[in-house]
Amino acid sequence: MLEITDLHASVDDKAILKGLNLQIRPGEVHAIMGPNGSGKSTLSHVLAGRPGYEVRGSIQFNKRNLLDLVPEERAWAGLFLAFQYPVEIPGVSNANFMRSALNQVRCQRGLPVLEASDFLKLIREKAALVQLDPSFLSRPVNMGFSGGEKKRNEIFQMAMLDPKLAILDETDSGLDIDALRIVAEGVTKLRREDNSFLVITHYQRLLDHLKPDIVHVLIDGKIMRTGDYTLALELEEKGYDWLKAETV
Amino acid sequence: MAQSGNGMIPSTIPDTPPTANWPTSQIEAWKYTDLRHLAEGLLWNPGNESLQPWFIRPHEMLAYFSGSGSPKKAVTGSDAFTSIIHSGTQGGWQLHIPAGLSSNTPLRVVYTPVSPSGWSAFNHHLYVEQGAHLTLIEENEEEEPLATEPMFDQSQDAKSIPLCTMTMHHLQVHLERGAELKLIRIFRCPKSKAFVHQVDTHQEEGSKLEVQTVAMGSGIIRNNVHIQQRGNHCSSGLLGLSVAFGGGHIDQYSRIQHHSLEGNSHQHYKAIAAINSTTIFNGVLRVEPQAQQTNAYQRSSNLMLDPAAHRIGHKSKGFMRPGKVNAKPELQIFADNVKCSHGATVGKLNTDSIFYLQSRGLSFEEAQRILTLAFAMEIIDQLEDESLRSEVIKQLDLLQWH
Ligand SMILES: Nc1ncnc2c1ncn2[C@@H]1O[C@H](COP(=O)(O)OP(=O)(O)OP(=O)(O)O)[C@@H](O)[C@H]1O
Ligand SMILES: [Mg+2]
Repeated sequence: MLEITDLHASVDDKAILKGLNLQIRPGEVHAIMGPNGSGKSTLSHVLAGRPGYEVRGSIQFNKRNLLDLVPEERAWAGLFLAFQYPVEIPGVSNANFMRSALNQVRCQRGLPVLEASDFLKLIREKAALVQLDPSFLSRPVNMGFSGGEKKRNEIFQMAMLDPKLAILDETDSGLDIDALRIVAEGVTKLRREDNSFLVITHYQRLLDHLKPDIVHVLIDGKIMRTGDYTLALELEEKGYDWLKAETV
Repeated sequence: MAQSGNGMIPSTIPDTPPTANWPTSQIEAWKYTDLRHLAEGLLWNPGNESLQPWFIRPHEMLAYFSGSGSPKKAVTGSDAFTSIIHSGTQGGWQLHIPAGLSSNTPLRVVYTPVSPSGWSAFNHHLYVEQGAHLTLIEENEEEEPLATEPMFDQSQDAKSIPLCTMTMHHLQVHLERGAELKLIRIFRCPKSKAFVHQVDTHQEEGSKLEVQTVAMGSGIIRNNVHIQQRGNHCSSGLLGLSVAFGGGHIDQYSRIQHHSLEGNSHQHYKAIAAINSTTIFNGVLRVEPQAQQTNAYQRSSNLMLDPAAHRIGHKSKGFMRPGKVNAKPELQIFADNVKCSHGATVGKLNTDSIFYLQSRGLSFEEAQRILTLAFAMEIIDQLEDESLRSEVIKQLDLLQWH
């Protein structure tokens, strides 16, 4: 599904990712943990194609060279990023936004454009999945949404666009306990054998729900350690210092 | 009762060309749009009796008087522009709305293209008597729809292209006590044409005025709205949207003068300057010493579209410069007990927003289109004419991004 080899990324000559390797196979859930500023969001941005980074290395995504694709082409190919800080877009309603996006994506994937009634059905169904109040659909994208509502809206968009690989960048931060469970259940329902998740998080709690297959620790722009779910438990207990100590 | 075509007065048409004393950029109010420069090489176009480059189309029958001769009370000004209009005028329409009359159906004035080429001037009067209500839609018609060609093809500023026609209108409005007028205008201007419009309004006590203006095109548009609040408790609202593309130059100028007690005025202008194009907003708000308890605000928000925002590696196909914006609020407050505020912003599309939309599968062009429309929507939503709203949305949709 995804194969990252020796990935470097810098902004204004400041190196952030420093030779990162990562492989995700279909059906897997991976978690990335790591201290603040270690480069987790940068990795997610580079994967989604955000401009402004100097990037070296290779990223294969379902046999395509991801770095050759512009952001929308990556979305068409099945990549989705749930932003750590979702952007507010005044003047564009959530529902219209999703209609344009979904039709564009479907069109690129060779699927017919949805009839209005089918779209309505789908949008209701997916909103219910993450228990997003339908009133949010007519509101401008993320405008005035609370932190937790924005995160829920990201998962709603993910459910609408049905990606092959979804990257969740701290989607659990800012969620209350119930919302966290709802989001985790939503993700679990969307799991299939042919899609994968890359979950960036600081907290054990989300991983308790999601049961990741593989846990990575990202420190100073590199994957410092990879293990199974027990690695997350170990981090919870010991923090990152023991790993950082190994770096030097 | 009146039919289509009523409301016009034959005017005395001068047969010798007027010696026009054009306003130039030396005059502060005309700093960005120099009429003398524009008129260079243009001949005066003396109309004739049969030339009536406008018609009035009542949506339904509406009672009004068609005055003849001079209006009850002309609001003539003495500035450079008015003196040109008055020396070169080829006539105009005149409407008189009798006291107490009010109608929900708007009246539509349509200016048709003037031929032959050259410059032409028209002078119109609108008199709304005590307590009468009127909605007037004013628009100009063009032979062809506005250009939709890709913006990068337009290698030149509208101001550097020789004009073939310049059409000028001066509308003088008098609102008597308690009169209410909604003036909804759309000006469309293709390349190599200039459209200059000025409305001078005199408001008596308790009168209400709303002016909504949409100006779009790749030619030159100058729109002046001058308001004199002469009676107490007047209110004036101005709403404006400029969409300049393909090298277009759109200059919106407003001048509101509060002379009396407890006047209200609010202005909200938005402008989109696409690649190679220019928009200007210059709003003068003047509160005289006796105009206590005035409540006024002015807001101008401007969006510049920038070719540099285009995708890296995308080959530009010609000369491109970002849209250019001049926004100039001018507050002259001489009364002490007033509430006046203003704000002007100039910005580009937010790159984070573009990326966010792209990450959901919308193309770079589509993302910009959506965000630009969203910017304009705040004004479009307030336009009180359905067909105008959809026309503006369509025009924005036709802007090409690559
Ligand atoms: N545009 C930028 N300009 C300069 N520095 C940047 C830029 N983007 C990221 N950085 C720096 O790169 C480092 C990694 O940032 P990143 O956002 O990827 O961290 P993170 O691991 O996601 O942290 P957190 O856990 O706090 O979300 C930080 O030191 C950050 O300040
Ligand atoms: Mg982060």
